[in-house]
Amino acid sequence: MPGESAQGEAVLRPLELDLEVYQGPFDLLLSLVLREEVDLLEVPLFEVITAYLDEMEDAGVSGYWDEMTEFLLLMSLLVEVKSRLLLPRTITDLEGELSPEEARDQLLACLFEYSKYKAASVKLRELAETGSASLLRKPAGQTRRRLAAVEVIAGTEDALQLREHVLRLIEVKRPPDASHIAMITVELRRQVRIIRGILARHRRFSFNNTFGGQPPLVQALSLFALLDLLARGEIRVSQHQTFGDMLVTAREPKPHEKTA
Amino acid sequence: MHLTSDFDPSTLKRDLEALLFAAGDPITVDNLFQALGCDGDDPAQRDQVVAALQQIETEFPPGGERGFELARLSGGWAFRTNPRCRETVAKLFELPEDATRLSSAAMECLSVVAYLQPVSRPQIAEIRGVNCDSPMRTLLDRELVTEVGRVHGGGGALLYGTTQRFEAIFGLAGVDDLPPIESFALSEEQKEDLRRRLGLLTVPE
Repeated sequence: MPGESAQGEAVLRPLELDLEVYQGPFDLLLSLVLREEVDLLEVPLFEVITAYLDEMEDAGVSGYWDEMTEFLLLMSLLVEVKSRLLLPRTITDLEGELSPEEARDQLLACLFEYSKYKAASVKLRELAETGSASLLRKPAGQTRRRLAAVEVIAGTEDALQLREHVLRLIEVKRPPDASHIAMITVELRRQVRIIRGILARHRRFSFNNTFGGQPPLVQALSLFALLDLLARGEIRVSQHQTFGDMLVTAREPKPHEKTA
Repeated sequence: MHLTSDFDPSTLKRDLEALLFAAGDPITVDNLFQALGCDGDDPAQRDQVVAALQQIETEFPPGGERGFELARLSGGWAFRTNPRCRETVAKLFELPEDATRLSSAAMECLSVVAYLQPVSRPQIAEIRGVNCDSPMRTLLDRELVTEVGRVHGGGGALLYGTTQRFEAIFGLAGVDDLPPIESFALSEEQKEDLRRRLGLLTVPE
């Protein structure tokens, strides 16, 4: 057995403990017992504690209570387990405390349970090494999904979130297809020609009767055409009430205008 | 496109490849059904789509000779670069976050969450025998775990579970893809050794 002298007396062998590498009391125990193959009786707890305190003081982190309490927890567990080994086994248990059997079973159950997750974390690290070797393709630009995923729609209970999904779906990115709509071809010069033609045939006409049924754009351009003809002195326009119908009459050119 | 019983397999395969390429991130089979206009409740149509996916997987197998591969990740499917091309890809592009840099404490917490989810911090601390606030903060910050609910009663501690990002980074199709936790249990010989060295082999009288 390591740490046993030639005379058969148990002696403490030097044990180098880097406390920073242990992730907790169970980790420390497992490491000591399974990896370092050390019996708990060989672990010099006093030296571990003083070494830790010196280390903390040197590092100037003696005020870090989280670390201190974790260390306290770790050491108290080791002290308890070691005490049970050293003290006479006929000692009477204190009321309310776990019986030695219960304490033993509990500690072993904790160690067995912890060891599984410790080993699983090593496996996870291996998986991470493999996973970090591949690159998923990032969609070019700012491609967004228009059709929300089934699970997103089915799982949402938020009306606003659902609204966002619907808006994205109906959002039109391309210019609308207006090929089915007939183009309206209208221009000022053409409207001037039309009005002159009407006046040549009838001398006068009602604006509402002639253009009232036309699309708004045609009506607007016909009005501009009237203003143009008014400016040229070719027509007269009368309106008996504001926003009422307009009567358009051809104006006879005066003699000097004919000459000009 | 709407699938019928006499759809063209090559068209289906082509459309699937386009969807997988455009998605980038893992895309679930249900999402693929949705995009293809496929009736997910129709077993025949599901089989056709899954068969086409498996055919693409055969052409771009994980670790194969192609530069990219079709991988089952995070409950879905995704094209990704072949891990064997890591060095070449890394010369031009930043590879994903290296989870191997996580501390041992964080990795232990992550393994507890992965296997026991949903799980609370006190439960994790009980298993590890040590407070887990700091490593859990790291895992939350890196979006490897997330809050998934609260314990009913008793103060309602927050419950944690792993994220899809965790599955993607660790190359898992899902948490069911992890080896059974019992496969990591100590052997009977190791348990016996542990009992002996802790002086717990015999029951104190």
